Amino acid sequence: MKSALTLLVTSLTTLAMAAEMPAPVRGLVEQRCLPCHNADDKQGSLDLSALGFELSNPRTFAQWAKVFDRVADGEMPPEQKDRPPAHERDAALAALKHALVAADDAHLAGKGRTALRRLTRVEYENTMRDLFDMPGLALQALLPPDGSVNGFDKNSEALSISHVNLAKYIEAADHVLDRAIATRPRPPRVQRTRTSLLNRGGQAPYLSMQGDVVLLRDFKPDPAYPPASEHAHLDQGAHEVMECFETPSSVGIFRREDESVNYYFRGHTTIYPGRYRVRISTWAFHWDKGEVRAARGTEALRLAAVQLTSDGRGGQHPNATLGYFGAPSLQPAVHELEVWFNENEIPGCDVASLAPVANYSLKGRAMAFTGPGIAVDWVDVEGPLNEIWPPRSHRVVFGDLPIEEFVPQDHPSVRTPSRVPFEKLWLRLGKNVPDPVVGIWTVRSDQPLADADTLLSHFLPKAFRRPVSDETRNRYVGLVAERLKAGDCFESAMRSAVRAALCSADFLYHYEPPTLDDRALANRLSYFLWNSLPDEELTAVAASGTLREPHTLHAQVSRLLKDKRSSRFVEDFLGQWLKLRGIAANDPDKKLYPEFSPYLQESMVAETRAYFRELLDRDLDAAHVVRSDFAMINEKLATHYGISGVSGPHIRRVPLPAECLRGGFITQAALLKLTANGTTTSPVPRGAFVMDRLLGRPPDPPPTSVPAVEPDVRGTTTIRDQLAQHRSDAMCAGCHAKIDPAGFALESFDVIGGLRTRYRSLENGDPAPRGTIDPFIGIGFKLGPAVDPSGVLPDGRTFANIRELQAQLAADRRGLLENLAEQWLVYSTGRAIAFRDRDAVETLVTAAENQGGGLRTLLHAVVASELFATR
Amino acid sequence: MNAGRRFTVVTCRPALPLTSLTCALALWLPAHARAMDTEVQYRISGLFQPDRVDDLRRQAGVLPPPVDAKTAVEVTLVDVRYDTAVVMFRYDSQSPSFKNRKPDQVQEQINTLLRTASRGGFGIAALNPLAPEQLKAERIGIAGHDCKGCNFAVYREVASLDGVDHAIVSYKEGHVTAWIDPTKTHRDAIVAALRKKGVDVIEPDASQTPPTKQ
Repeated sequence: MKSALTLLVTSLTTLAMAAEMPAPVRGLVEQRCLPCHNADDKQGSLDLSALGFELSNPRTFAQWAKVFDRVADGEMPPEQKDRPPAHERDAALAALKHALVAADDAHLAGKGRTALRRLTRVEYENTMRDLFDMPGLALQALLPPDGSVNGFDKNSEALSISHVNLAKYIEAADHVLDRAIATRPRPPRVQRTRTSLLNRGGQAPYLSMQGDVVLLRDFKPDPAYPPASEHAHLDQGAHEVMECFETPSSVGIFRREDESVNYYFRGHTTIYPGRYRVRISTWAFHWDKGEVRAARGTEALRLAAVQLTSDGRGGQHPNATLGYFGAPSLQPAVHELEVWFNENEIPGCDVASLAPVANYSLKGRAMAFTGPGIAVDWVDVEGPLNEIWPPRSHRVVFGDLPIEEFVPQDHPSVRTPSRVPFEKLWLRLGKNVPDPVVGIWTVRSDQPLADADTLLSHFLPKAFRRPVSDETRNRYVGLVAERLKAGDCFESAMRSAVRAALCSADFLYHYEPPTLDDRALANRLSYFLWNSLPDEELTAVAASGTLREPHTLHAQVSRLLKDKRSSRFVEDFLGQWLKLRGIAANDPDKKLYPEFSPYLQESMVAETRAYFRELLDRDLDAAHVVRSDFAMINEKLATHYGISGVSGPHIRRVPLPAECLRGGFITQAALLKLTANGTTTSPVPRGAFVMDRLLGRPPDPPPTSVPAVEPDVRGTTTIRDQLAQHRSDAMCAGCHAKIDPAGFALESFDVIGGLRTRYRSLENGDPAPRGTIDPFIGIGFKLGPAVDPSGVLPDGRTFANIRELQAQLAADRRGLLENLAEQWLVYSTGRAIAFRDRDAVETLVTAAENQGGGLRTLLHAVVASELFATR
Repeated sequence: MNAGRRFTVVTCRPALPLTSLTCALALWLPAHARAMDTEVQYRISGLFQPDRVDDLRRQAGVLPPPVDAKTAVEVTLVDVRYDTAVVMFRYDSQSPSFKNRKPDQVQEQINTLLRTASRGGFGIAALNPLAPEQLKAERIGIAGHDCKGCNFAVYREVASLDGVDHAIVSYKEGHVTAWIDPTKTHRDAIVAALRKKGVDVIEPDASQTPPTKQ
């Protein structure tokens, strides 16, 4: 081993080579840091003697920024070592900060912080939806997934583009225009279809034969079709021939949707995409071996839009939740909503709040079953609903030009516009029928080029989200002229130009000058809070040049937040900041967590979104990130959390009982689930999540050489025991001292966010009490070792449970505010927070603090900041 | 529709006496019915319980035109005999669908129309050369749901056996009764087929006598 003298000489020599290193920094490093962070010891895998001070090198820059943070936080030098006097430390920090900011400035000079970035998939879909007024158009699945940098897909570095993207943009543009352009003189006839789960093609008839479904009339079993008992009904085909399922009977359901069971209303299959009015009649009951009795309360029915796919026959088709609706006891409730259906979409439902029973395997089937059921009487689908014709989607492109019949003989030199005939697919079993028109109908223009010029002068600025020069417009008019000359009709020629515009960089990319002008600021604001283009009002304000006026900007932010489109911000931001997009990444073990259900999972996500919305709406302070005296829950979550007095599926604000350990994002089931692996919890990922996402202090990534801790579901050891062994390694201890505490406190919650005092086990342990688990769910797990939620923070403070930890975390409101400000800035500007931005962040956070420190206030401060207004 | 009918009764065995239904339908026929209308009798399948007669009337009343026909319905149900499962149809032998057709082609044509209209619930076949008294009734006890669909499932299983002329099923009364040609099939074959289908067969009760249709 080298002597200390040799070490010092070597280190000094190395450091001496770093000529730019400011003297106060060098002094501190040589005296306080090198004794541990040298070439031999490399404590914390850091060798400062070899690091150099080339701050133009991103890795070197990042290391010195980290050194700055550790010293500034008082973490380094460690307490047990000799610490520098304050003046020495402050001088070194000031000098290092100055050098880092200077390096940042040099690095970013002339480039702006945000590189050119394209629309994300979410932004693309919303932009198309709003531009063409087709609010349910499904486009994301047509495009390749985006990457993610700094936790968000909006970061320019995550938004690469390739020939695949370009090919998909062309397909997507055609997909949109096929549906946007009207090709008929009048709208498709509005049809009202009453559909039942018993309609041909659905699974309910088969399920009724086996007892998972019963037919009900006047709140009794249908005498013409007795419930399946020890004898199942024979031969579904024979029953169909006898028209047994062509009945107005209600369908009583006991079994939840699963991999092999679905509840589809096949009486309507969407032919014309558009707005539809959907009404559903449903009620709950208690089934007692053939008797219909009053239900235990209001059950929840999930209504979904199901996309029938040609390869999904018999199994699950992709579907999206339209909502959860209350099914009251023995009292049919009619729920009405207006939805958008795409082609081949149908309504579907699920008895969301019921336990996962399966009567088909039960001796005696339905007649031996006692338990809750949900009845569905019917679903009415009415549409497509068009307020005006041609629709707005068409008018965006063609304005008020008339639609007239195109007779090819009258236009011998013009190519007939192509039309896709209605195709009778096997999956289109609906009773609604096509409403074809005779002949070919298209837009008529008597002065095509002049009309094209006028139409494009309206369309292009909207699509490009900024004024468009004459030169640009003329280029697109030229495209129209070319196509007309080639024999296209006016519709086809215009379509070519519009398609080109939708595939152009002007549309696909955010245009942002170094200092945002009002239009660019409006775009940034709109894509921040709506994930879409600005509406007419915001565009007009930007055009008037007044958007930057504080009260105007404030008013616009308030307006955008109030608009229902802001739900896109809530969904997209939380999907990434709190990783809610990954909520379904794992399925909890069915034996350990039998009470888990898709309804619970969707309620979890709804809670986190509603809570975030509540914080914004009420301008609540940042401590609410980690602590609150209320929760946003429905009956399902209330039961899960052990809170009584909440009935029905809608989310509402509920005060938390004094003894309840919930409050803040940190204890919400969604976060607890997505930080677990479906079988066990570990303080490490949960602690890392809290540090990174909630506190804004991301831990270093784990070294690749250290194996992961294997879960133990036998009930013999706790994760704390396992981690204790892991932390005995000095190399691991440093990081885990910071990561694990929050994770230990969160051990009070299991993998689906349920409160626990003992770990669940499949082998060893005591019989488990039912607790709040639905009495119709079988319990097979046991209770193993006790949970110890206590811990010690890196600064030595101790906590006994999550509540004490929450109090400690909530005390640092400024830190929580800073984190949120940074997250919003990264999300809205599409770039990471640079070192040189820190002062600006502090300034805006201080401004928000001075006005009460509420989250809505902070959001206003973010939007009003220079960081937001510059590229 | 239904214009131009005349009567030429063609049967595979002696014609059955007209029932009141036939009379009613005959009264309903247009006065200018022409002499080219032809009546034929067939054995009908699907008539396993009394209310199936109404089903047959309803579904035969909306027979779709043959695929190659340019006119409307050319076939009319004239008579239904539930007890023997025999029906009589009338068709216009000069119509495009039936002109110059042989009897088996006519039968096939009508069968197709009927099966289409009833979604396979009814079908016709040539009359059994055996006289009704030569058929043997086999009554087998079954247990299950009093459900038309289940009855039909059981019926379909039994009626499809070679040697079964016709059958009736009643879960309500707990039996299936088949009229069989004893030279072609026997009780055990029916029981085996029922069990294979998943029907809960109740062992025969020797004290019971074969029933007659209601």
